Amino acid sequence: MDLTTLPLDIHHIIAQYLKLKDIRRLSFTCKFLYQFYTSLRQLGKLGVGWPIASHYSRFYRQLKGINVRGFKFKEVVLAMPLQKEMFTNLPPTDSITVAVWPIEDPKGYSQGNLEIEKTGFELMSSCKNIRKIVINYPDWIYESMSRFRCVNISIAKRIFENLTVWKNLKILELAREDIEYSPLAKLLPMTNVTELKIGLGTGVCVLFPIIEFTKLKSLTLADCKLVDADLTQIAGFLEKWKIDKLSLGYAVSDKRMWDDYYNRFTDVGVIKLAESIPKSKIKELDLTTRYTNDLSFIAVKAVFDAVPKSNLVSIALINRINNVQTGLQIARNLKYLDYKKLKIDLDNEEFYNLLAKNIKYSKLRKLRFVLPKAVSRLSALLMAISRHPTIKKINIKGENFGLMGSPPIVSPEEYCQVFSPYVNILPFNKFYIDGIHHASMLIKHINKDSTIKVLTISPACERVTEDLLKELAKNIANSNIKEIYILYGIKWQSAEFGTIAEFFNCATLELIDISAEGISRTGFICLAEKLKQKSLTRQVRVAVSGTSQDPEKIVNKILGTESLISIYSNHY
Amino acid sequence: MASVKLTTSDDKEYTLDRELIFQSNLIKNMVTDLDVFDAPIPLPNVTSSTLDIVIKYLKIHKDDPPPPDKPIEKAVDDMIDEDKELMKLEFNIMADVILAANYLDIPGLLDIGCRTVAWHIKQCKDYHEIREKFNIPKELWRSEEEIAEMKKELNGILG
Repeated sequence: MDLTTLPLDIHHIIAQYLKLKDIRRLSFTCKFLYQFYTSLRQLGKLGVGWPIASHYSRFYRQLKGINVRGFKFKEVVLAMPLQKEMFTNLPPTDSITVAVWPIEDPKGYSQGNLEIEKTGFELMSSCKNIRKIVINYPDWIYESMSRFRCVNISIAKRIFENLTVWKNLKILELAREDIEYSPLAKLLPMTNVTELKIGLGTGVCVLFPIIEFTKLKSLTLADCKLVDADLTQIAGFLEKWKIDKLSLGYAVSDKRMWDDYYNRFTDVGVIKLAESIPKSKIKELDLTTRYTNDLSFIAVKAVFDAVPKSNLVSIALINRINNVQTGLQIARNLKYLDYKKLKIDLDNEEFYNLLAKNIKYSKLRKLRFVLPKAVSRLSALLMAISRHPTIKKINIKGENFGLMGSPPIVSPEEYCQVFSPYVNILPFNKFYIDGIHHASMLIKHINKDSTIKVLTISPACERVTEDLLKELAKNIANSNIKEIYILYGIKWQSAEFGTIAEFFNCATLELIDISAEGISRTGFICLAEKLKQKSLTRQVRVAVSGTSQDPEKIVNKILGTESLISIYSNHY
Repeated sequence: MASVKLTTSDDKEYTLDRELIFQSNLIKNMVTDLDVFDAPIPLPNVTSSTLDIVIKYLKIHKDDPPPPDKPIEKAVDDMIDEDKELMKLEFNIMADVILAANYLDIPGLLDIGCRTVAWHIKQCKDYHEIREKFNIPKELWRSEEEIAEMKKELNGILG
């Protein structure tokens, strides 16, 4: 019995649980997997986006071979503008999402590709049942954005002009910094759009006066360069808006090149808005600030004071706390907060006590906090976390792990004394540790009862010696850890790479992922040589910065295979 | 309690509580619609070793509420521990169980079987491993040249 002998009906069910990348990999496996393509008819959702269309053009061609007509999809996701073939074969569907992404075409758009866009757009206009339109771009485009800018501006313009054509259009998502919003302001009241999301927009203020005339229930203006004056304007309009979900936080994280776009509110704007909330219909409010020092205790208190007088049930304010009074206020009010993630840069005993007491009321999934000097104050918090139903990840950071070669303020022994009783009862699959010394010692306490299988170590700018890495490798070998991620910041030298390669003596380790910025060519060669010597069958991933020179080619040349090692680049 | 007799393809006879085996829509319909009570129902497509696994599944789920008309979308690995344990099978056996679930019309078992196969496909790190894990016959393999061509095309587009 082999996979190919299962009947097509069964393949249809299996395919429902596969992603396109899995199907692509299956396509390398054997010829019969054409069946998997046809099984897409059962998927209910057909994603024909940028990845298939350009990267996986072969897959796309095969997909085109299928008679799409006659299939019934619940949702179709299409990438504009190149998917004109798909538009011509558009199946009957309940919902169409059009993701307007520019396509990287080596020949360039200047050579007549605008014609494709025009044709594609005309076809798109004829699809009356489009429910969602997304104008966005994928991450890789940040660096070479100017090449595509003109294409998307013109598409956005045409979409705005035709908004009223799509009677079923409910969701409009625009993540572009170069869109002119006046045409949208004119037409939005004549549409049935209930959800508008704008990210990286400028000049969105033109929308404020018309929102009361729209059917909008949810408005997101993330990273729109909003300041206190805009918040004051919104406060003035809020009573008239029918919106129950207002998000004015930030959307793009860790993308420093968009730094100018973050909404920057201070106490003045937040207090104004807080005062207007009781007169509004707002239930969910997101004012998450990027700049943590911008909001003080007074502003945070003003928002919480509005809760009993308003419809507010969910608030997101600051997700990175570094002000004691603000932190205390937030820790006291965790039950109102809609935090999934919280970052705390405080070393304050009362704060940790409050957090330990109130964390059970939160909906947190991820929690990041600093390692306090008096590490024992974390005990109650760790116990509370171990009983929390949704927290799945904690990330403990801070200078107390040690700085630039100096000894850590909290010694690995003290750290282990506090953490070792909890490390096997914390219900996590993944654990994050700052500091190779601390990680190496704590691993010894992770026993077979622990659910931790994936360990991420972020070297705490400490001096990493070969002996330390060897000790870490030995302790990993004796643990149940299956995957290890080593993050950032260290300019690994050749010898250290050699030692890293020793990790592969570990019987259970299945994946090592090294993120090394500015990694040297020699370092890569050394790693690859070590791996080759060991004839390893396990997987290695090396994440490198964009500045590294062809690491993939170097390593693959040495290893002569790509199944052993995969290397990816970070595009930020 | 009323029971139903089944005979597997290797001639092994089973007597099972109706309540248990009625999780199979096929058996339920045969018994209720066709009034088949005493005579053993032949299962020519199911071996005894496969039926043993099916019965284990039926026992785990005997107290489950009836499945909804519209299937609920679940994550690939979203299943109870007992099911996960039950599905720890070689692909050959797993395929037999899936086929049996399909034949006996036990939607829950069919779903967890297919989900487990999908999960295994996702776990494979490359196409070599998929071939090995799922016993893909060599004559169906794409040639390395063909794969190289597919990859070349991919790289060309990636620049």
